[in-house]
Amino acid sequence: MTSDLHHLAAAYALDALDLDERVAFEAHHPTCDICPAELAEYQETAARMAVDKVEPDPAMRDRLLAEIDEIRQLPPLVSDTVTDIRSARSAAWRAAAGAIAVAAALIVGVVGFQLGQRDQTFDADLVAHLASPDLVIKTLTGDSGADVSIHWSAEHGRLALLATNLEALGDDMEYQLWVLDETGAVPSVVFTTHNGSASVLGEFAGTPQGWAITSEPAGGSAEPTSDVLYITG
Amino acid sequence: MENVKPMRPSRSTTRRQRRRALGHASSEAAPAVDALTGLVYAAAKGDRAAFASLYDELAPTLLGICRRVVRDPSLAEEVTQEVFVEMWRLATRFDRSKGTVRSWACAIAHNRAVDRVRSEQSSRDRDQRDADHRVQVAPPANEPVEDDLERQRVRNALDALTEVQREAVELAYYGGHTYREVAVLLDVAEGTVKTRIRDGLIRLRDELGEAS
Repeated sequence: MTSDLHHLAAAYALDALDLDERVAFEAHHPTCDICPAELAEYQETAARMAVDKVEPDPAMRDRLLAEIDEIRQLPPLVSDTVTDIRSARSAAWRAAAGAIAVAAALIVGVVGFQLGQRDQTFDADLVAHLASPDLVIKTLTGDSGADVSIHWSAEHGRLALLATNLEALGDDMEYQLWVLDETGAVPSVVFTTHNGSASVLGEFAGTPQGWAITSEPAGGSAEPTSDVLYITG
Repeated sequence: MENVKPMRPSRSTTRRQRRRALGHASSEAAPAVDALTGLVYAAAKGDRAAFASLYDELAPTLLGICRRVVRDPSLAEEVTQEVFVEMWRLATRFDRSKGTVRSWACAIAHNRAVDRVRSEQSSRDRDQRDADHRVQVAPPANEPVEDDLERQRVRNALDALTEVQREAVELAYYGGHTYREVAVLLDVAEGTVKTRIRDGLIRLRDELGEAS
């Protein structure tokens, strides 16, 4: 649903949404890390399309100026601490947004390129996740030359695993990610490779202290059954 | 000293004129943008004269939007007046970090015009309007066209879109249709129209960005 809402920003900027979607988008976009910046650009573009100029009847100016005498202006929005933090963060985010979006697009391009079963929704979710302002990136190392990284957002309790140069496993085996916390190894996403690459999104409710990957029978295990192949330092 | 003094105003005027000419050519960082922002800030404090200046700057463009979408000249004027009343009410909440004054004002105008069309016109009227739109993709004739350069720039950018993208974007923006209505008009899937609008607008943004 969230990624669908991202895709509505352009249609929203052209007022081309039905009321239900318009309401849903308006509820979504102020809390979104991507939509406000995108929407601003779309709206600037839409405004450029307004090339017709029609001179109004001079009487209209008089009517308007008479009318606003009777109209009370809305009180300004008073910022409190919470909104201050939010807007400070969103300003910082906006500055970084371009760079992050490019980086995310590159990652999706490189990793996602080879994956047959990916769809736009997943890509959009992944890009959105990788643009999370609180993203923490951990690299996993192992004996093979694979590049494996975990991109963790504590705020969303969400992770992305991105890997390249992974060995293909046998048909009945799959990779499994484990979240290491104070209780030990908590099972996380199970994934396979496509031409050596993988990109997966997962959720985790706790506080990760580390990440590890094992190979497990297809479908995954409740506890690790193989040696650790990759682990955070 | 007496010889020097008269020189200064004329020199600074020249510089200002030069800067204004530059600003006009490069569109985005134009001094006019800052002037508009200043007018909105003043209007937010209840300054009616500033608001009148804002009206003078923007009324032809906003009336142009309303006329294009609602078609009926007197209804378009009525909607435009509502738009300015709304801008007066909302001036206190204008947030420069979310976009330019022009973008803010055009968004309010287009939104109001589209709402008026959707709420007031019967489906039969709308069918007629659709027919009108197909015939008349060009702007209403016999209206003065002030900014031919900008118009041509936007026209070129629209022409750079694929035919199906341009059609979807124009039916949505100039026609005031929802993407679902556009899907019916073009007899294609709704998802396809959504994608065409999005890709088209991104392309348009890039084309206009390069052109300016």
